[in-house]
Amino acid sequence: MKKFLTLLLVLASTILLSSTIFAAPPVTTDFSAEVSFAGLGSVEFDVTLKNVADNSPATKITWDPAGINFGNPGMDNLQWKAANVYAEMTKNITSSQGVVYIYQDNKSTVGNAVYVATAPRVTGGTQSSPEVAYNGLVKGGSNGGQFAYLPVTFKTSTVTVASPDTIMNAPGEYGQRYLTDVSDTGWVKDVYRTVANAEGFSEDVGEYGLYPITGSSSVSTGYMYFSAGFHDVYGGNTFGSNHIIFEVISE
Amino acid sequence: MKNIKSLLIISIISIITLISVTSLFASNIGRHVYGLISEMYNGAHFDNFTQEDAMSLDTWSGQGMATFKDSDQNTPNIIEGNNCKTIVINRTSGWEVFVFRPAYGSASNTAPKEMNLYYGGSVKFLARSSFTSVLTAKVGVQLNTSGTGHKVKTLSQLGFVADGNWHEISIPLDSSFGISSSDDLGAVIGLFTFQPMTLITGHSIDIDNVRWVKPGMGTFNATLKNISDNGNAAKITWDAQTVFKQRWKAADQYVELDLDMDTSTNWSLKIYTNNGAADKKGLVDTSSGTSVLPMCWRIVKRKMPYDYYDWGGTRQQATFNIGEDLYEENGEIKGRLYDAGVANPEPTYNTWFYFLDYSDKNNFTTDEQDYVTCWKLKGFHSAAGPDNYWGMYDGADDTVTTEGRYPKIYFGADFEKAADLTYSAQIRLELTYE
Repeated sequence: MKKFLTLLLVLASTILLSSTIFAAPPVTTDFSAEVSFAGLGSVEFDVTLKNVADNSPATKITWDPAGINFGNPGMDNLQWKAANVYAEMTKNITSSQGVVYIYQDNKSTVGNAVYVATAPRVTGGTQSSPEVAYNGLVKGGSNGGQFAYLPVTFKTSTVTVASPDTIMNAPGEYGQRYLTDVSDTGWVKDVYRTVANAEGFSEDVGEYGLYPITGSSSVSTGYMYFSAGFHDVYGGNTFGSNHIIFEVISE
Repeated sequence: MKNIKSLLIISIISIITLISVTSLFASNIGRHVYGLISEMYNGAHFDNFTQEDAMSLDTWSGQGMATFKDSDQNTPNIIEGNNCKTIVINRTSGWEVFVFRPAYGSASNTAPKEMNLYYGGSVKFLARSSFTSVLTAKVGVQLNTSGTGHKVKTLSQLGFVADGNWHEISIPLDSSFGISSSDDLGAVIGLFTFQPMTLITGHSIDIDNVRWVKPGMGTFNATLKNISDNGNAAKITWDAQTVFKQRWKAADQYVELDLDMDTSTNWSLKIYTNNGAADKKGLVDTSSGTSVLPMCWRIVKRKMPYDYYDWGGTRQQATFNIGEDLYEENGEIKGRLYDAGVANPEPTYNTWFYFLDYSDKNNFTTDEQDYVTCWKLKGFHSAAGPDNYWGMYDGADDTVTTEGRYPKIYFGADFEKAADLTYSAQIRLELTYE
């Protein structure tokens, strides 16, 4: 009997104690949030040429020869001059894989034969393994060669510019990149050739990669201005490029 | 054979005891904190909504020399929610005891309550007065109808200071208050009693946040639930097809808060993203970690959407339509979020809050500390704007009796700049108290 009573007392106190066990309140509580848009993106891009003077449609990128001096000023003293025509770009890029590249193909035989390049200019390397380039405006009828290319640069903007010469600084300054050619030594489709992606219109390339124009991811219209560095120009010369290519990659 | 019989009897008795204990939890009685006059805690109801928690104010008086009334817009600096009670002396003779009885309909229907589990805890409340006459007032509990069943002490004995500031008073539910064991709390008929003793016309005392508290800490729970069916959820999510490239959209889940711990007057619940960097105060793409979609939160007293009356008396509905207004301040463009679905949207009354990140919390200004606080003793952070708005009143018909005091936190995000990526975020709630 004594053992029975003792056991009952133990059970009763156990029940009371179990109802007074307190959980220490958490100091922090964490939740996860997630959403996946994989497969929902798209890429839309278009480009049209327009005249700087009146924004009317244009068919090719041109320069006004006025003010360009004849002769050879030396490769360190190029006469940089902005084109009369700019490119108006429209985009709607929501795919993370979407990207637009710009480059040339001056070796292509499609187009005006006088601007087809077969001979590059040497830009470095060794005699046995030279680095060559085909980019720029090709002197008409030259097929290329060491002094037969005029370098061309481009600059993107989200606003139109009445006088592009005011924004087309010397190459190497922030925001201005050279047009490059698919046949240039070591050429690849990379950030340097990138015009636009889901982050916006590309402004330049630097230490941390590609820099979009701030706020341009949601901007649908952008503009591209061009500048050429003139040298070894003489009366009767023409310079041109059959293929300045905007390539749109969607995936 | 004898041994087997004895064992059987013991088992039956223990089962019966367990059932008795469980039945105490049918109402809010049994929660760690049982609110009587409280906007923060679940507890008694004065609206006869539930019989189990029904409460009636019994004025036990001879000649009636005091008034027990609600606070109004002239009551300054209420620190718990929006309302308190005030006892005002209005004559210099007579006697009066205010008793909160567990009664449905009227005090004559008093049904004694089993408050045994609160033994060893206390009845706590906030009190404020600048009149030293109130120090003689007697407060306590009524355990039964016997002459010795009314356990009281004066406010002076309980340490109250009549300096015009709020003070927390604690009535110990143990032998120091004449309550010898938990059995004494088995049939409580007066959960809180107040008897003014010194009668000086016009003298008054404010009372607030009266509650029964068990020994120990209690619990605070934050539960993630689906808006669609209020079932538990594992993550905060959105429908990708619906929200892709859209401006601010509410998530499909909410967090329900359950405060069942006795906190100090200086407690707060803060909310942040916890993504490890100050600028990652939203959904971050999981591939490069560089793209951030802004997120926001809103805290309300009841499930959204819900109807309420605005300050002008117009019927409104709290909605998931999140609007964003950009404005200039000191040369800087800033944003603010508001309910764009109400009848007259007001961009300066900001019921939604942008997230800030936990990693930056040590750099927050005082305003930012306030900004990330979603709940504190004053109430939930209903809106920011020209002022910060706190409280437990949300303008609705008080259907709190159907939902209880379980504030809800809702979430939103701006998907305008979303790319075809996966985005994620960690959300952190942080409860601090003394």
